[in-house]
Amino acid sequence: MSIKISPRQTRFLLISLILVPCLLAVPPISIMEAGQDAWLSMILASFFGLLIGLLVSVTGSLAPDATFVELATRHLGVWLGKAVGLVFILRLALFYVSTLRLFTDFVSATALPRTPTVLTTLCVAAIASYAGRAGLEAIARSAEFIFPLVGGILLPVFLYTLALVRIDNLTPALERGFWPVLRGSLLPAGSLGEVVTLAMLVPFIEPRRLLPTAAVAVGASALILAITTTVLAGVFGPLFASFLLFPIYTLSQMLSTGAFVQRLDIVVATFWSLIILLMLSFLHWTIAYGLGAVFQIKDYRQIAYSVGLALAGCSVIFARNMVEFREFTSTACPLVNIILQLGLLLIIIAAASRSVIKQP
Amino acid sequence: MELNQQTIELVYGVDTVTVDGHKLYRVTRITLRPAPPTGNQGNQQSGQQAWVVSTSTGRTIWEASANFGPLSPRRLFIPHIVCIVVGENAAREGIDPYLDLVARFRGLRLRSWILVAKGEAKDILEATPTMESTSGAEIIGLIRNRVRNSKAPVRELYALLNDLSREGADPYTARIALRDSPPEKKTPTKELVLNGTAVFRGSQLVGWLNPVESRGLLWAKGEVPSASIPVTIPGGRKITIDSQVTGRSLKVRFENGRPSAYLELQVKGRITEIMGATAVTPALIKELEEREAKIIANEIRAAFQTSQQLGADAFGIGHAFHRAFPRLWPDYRNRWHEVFPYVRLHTNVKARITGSEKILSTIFPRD
Repeated sequence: MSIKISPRQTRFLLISLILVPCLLAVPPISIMEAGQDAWLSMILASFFGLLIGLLVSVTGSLAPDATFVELATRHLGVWLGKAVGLVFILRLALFYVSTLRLFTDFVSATALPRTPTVLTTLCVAAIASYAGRAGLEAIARSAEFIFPLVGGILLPVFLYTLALVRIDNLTPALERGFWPVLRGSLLPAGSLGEVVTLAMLVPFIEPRRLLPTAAVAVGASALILAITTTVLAGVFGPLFASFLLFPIYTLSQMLSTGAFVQRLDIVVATFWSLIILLMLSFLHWTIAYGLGAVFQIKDYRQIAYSVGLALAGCSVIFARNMVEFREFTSTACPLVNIILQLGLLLIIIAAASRSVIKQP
Repeated sequence: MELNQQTIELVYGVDTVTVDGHKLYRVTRITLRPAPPTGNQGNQQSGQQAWVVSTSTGRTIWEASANFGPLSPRRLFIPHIVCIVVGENAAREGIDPYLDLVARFRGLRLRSWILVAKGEAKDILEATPTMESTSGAEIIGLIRNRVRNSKAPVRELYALLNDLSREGADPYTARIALRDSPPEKKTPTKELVLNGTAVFRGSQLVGWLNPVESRGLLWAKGEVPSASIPVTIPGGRKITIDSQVTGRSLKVRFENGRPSAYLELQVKGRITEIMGATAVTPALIKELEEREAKIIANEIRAAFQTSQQLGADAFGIGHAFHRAFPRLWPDYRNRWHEVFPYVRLHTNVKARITGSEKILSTIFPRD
């Protein structure tokens, strides 16, 4: 492969991929399960993310020149390999569809309540398709610019909210035991396990950089997630925080310094939209590239727009309303994610190891 | 929507009223009257007030707000609301519907203040301002200026929501009322006054703390940024100390099978006024510190006793108990309001006087 992206670009892409949708939806659900101990759930979930990162680096060491889909075809035979590759890509598609839906619901609830959701979905999907079609290198270069920009603007905004934390909202610790903490870690584990997407980038980065890149991405994401969860529970109290649909937006509405630094929620929403577009573009590229590999299409660009349109359509019909969506993301989604992320990697590693052993 | 199609409102009042035997919600709004290009002069020339107070009713708060539509040629710009005033009757019925609305609706901000009116919120919003151009601006000014004597614990919406969602803590916020204008005023009017505390049990208003008790509550919460305390010294002279809380800890224990609370408070102050010839000596400072600590402890005790009489744990003792004894809390969770009146509060105030503005002893009159 001639295209290479730097470890830094990869880290930015992975952190955006894990964190951006996660921060919009995960903390309230974890807080609902684990209450004020939800930050522990995030730490616990990070171990799963690290395990997935480790397994991805193992696949990378088995075949540094192949993506997950190519590796599956190589070691599992054409049909079974294609089927496993397709399941891998369809899971990523489910991730894309749910994130797109989450984002359009967010836009609809906070800024454009009367705009048809279809229109917002199509606009976002069109931008993501356009960027996805431009290729991984273009997206990675954009990440190098967008990620620090958004981080630099959002970080001080959220640091301010630390002043509103009431420590007594965060105790007593482990009041209901360890089981709720474990249950609360299921959803973030699935989110941190999205580092599995790195398996599609193996040929584009140096193999020895795979594990450190995955570890840093998971570690940084888990840390930010744990801090955000703590701040949310500390500011609003665990009960109220668990009811918030878009906690980051509500938190950004809390900013008020003097009579002039106020109403920064629109700034937060704007920059959040920017980084969500980056994340969706990256995911779109992965899906289109993966489908191209599964169906042996010469150039994935040929299907970029049609894939974008199909994903947009799925996002609209994905759930009839927010209640259905939240029900899915908090119940079925975490288990499906965890099982598939871990299961598919283990299948490939087992098959590839068998092939390596068989070779004289 | 363009700016010239909107009007801005600052304060929003909610009451419950009964019309033809049906309970309705009534919202009262103060909106700024858009001035003609000549500015304030234009309004004065046309003899119009700079603001408009209007009301509308509905079966729900949202419907009442929506019913305001046909009454106003301009659309209200809600995000500028900085204060919600809930009428006494509405608060006695429960504030949960209002809190649900503010938590839900994207236009309302959780950093807005919430007050409870003594009487109807509509009367508060219709009061004639003494200094500002609208009663809304007057209310906001009173809220911002409350730190001078710390006798009105104004809460932001998110803090009230937090209290309401906690186990073992009851919400409270400041009271706003009307009082007769001073007799020397040519045309007697009603003036706004912000002091006292509305105490809730769960989401329902159950009673009030007077201004001194309100400060007692704020001492106990460690939320007094400034309080003027006149201390009488031997000889009958008064010395005023401006104090603030610098440290606070609340611990709970079991004593003879019943919960007790231990409140420790560190207070720092400076002498701001001495009435009568007095030499400021180390002995006097010590005396002042002891007397000030006693006054503060009494204010806290008075607030706590009223809180116990109302059966509402505004002090959050139950929450502290929950945090200290999480395994025992399930036994108390559902009967905390029955236990709370029997809780003993031990107060230990350590007052420290650190300064005396620009001079120490009194210059005039000389002894």
